[in-house]
Amino acid sequence: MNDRKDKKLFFRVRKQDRDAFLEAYDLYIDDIYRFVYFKIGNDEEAKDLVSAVFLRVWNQVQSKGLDESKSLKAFIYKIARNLVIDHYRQAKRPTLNIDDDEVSEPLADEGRSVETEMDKVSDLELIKRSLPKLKDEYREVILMHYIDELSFAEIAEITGKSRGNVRVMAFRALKALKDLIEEKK
Amino acid sequence: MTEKDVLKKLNVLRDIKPAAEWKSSARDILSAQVFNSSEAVKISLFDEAVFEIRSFFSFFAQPAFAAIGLFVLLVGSVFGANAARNTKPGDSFYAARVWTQKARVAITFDSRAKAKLEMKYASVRAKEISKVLSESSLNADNESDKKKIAKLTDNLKAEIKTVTDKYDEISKSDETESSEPVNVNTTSSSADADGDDVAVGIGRPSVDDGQVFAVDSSKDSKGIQISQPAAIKAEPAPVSATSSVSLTAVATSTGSDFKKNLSDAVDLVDNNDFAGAKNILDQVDTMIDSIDRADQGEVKGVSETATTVSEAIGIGTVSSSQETK
Repeated sequence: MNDRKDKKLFFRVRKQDRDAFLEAYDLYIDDIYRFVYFKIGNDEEAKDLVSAVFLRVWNQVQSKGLDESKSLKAFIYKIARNLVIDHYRQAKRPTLNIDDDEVSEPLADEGRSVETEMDKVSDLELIKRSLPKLKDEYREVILMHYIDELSFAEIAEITGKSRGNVRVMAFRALKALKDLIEEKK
Repeated sequence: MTEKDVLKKLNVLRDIKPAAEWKSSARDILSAQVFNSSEAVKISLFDEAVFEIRSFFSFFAQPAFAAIGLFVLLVGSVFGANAARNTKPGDSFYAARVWTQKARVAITFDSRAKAKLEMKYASVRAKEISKVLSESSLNADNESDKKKIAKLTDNLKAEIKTVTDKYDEISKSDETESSEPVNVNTTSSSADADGDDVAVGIGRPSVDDGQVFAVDSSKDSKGIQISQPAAIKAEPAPVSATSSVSLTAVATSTGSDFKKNLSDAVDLVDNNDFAGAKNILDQVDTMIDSIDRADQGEVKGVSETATTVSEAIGIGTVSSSQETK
C-alpha cells in the first residue's frame, strides 16, 4: 500500500475531512473485510462488522482524534480487531469455521488460463482449510504482515506487542502454516 | 515445500474481497452517516504546506538517506581536500586550501612548531603567487588585469612578510632557550654520617659549577636511593637539552642569508621581476625544508644523548641504604 497516500489521508482525516474519510474507506475496505472475514469465518457477519468498523473510526476521529496512532491503516485495523474481540465476547463463539461458499468475489478471472485458475482455487482451498487450524495470533499476524503488508511496527501498535515479538511470531506463524499445508497434502 | 511456496499460496487470499454491490451500498450508508453527523471542514493551504514540508523532510530523514548523505559528505570532503591541495592562486578551490592550512596551524599547540608551520605555508604560498605572476598572461595595460596583478602583488608581499616575521619569532625563541640551557649533571656529595654518599642533581649550572640542588635521602633505613657506581664518579657530563637547533646556523649553512633573500625578493617584486622573485623564494623554501630536516635530526640526537647520560649516571642501579652501608 502506498505509504505516502496513507500519510496524506491520515493528515486529512485527522482534520475531519469527510471526503478524505470516504477515500480511506475505498482504499482499505478490501483489506479490512479480509481481515475480519478470516477472524469471523462468516461473510454476512464480517460485512456487518466492517460497516461498524468504519463508522466507529469516524466517531473516534471526531471525539478523540488520531494523535496516538502512527498510521491511518494501523488505526483502522486496531478498531477492527477490537470490534472482533467484542463480537467474540458477545457471541461466545471462540472457534473459527470459514464457510466454503461465502467468498463474495468470484475468484475466476477471464484473462487467466483454466489450469492457473484450478491451481489457484486448490491453493485457496488448501489455505482456507489450514488457516483456521492455526493459533489466532498466528493467523492474525499472517494476514496483517504477509497479505495486507502491514509493517512489524504497525502490527506491534495494533496488537500491543513489541516489534521484536511480532517479528518472531510472524516467522513462527509461517513455519506453522507450512507444516499444516504439508500435512494436508 | 519452502516458506516461499507458502507465501505464493498465501497470495491467493488477496483475491478475497467483498461483493462490489455491497461495498457500494455500504459506502452510501456510511457517507450519509458521516455527512449528517459533521460539518464540512476546509483544510487551509498553510496546513497543507506544513504537511508537505514535514513529509518531505521525514522522507529524507530515513536511515538509508542519512547513510547516503554521510557517505557523500565523506567522499566530498576527501575529494575536496585532494582537489584543494593541487590548486593555485586564483582557482576556485584555492580559498579552501588556505583555509585547510589555517585549520592545521590552529590545531598545532607547540608555539615553535606553529610558527614553523606558518612560515612554511606562507613560503609555499609566496612561491606559488610569484609563479602565477611570472607565468600568467595578465596584461598590465588592461585595467582589470592591472587590478588582479596589484592584488596578487599585495598578497605576495604579505606572505613574504609573514615568512620574515615567523623567522624572527623562531630565531628569538631559539636565542632565549640557548642562553639558558638545561643541564643534567651527576655530582657527588660528601658522605654524611649515615653513609648516604650519592646525590643526583638536575638543574641549571651554578656559580661554583657544582650541584645546584640534590636529592638526598637522610631517612636511609627504609628509603630507596639512587646510587652512583664508583667507576663513573669522575667528571660531570653536562648535556645541553635545548629543544631545537639554532635556526640562523642552519639557514646560514645553506650558503646564503635567509633574511637577505627575503628582502631581495621584496625588491624584485617591487620592480615587477616576478621570475627573479620566484627563484629566490624557491631558495627560501629549500632553506625552510633544510631547517625542518635539521630539527628532526636534532630531536633524534637529544634522545640518543639522553640515553647515554642515563647510562652514565647509573639510573637503574637502585640500591637500598643497607646495601650502600
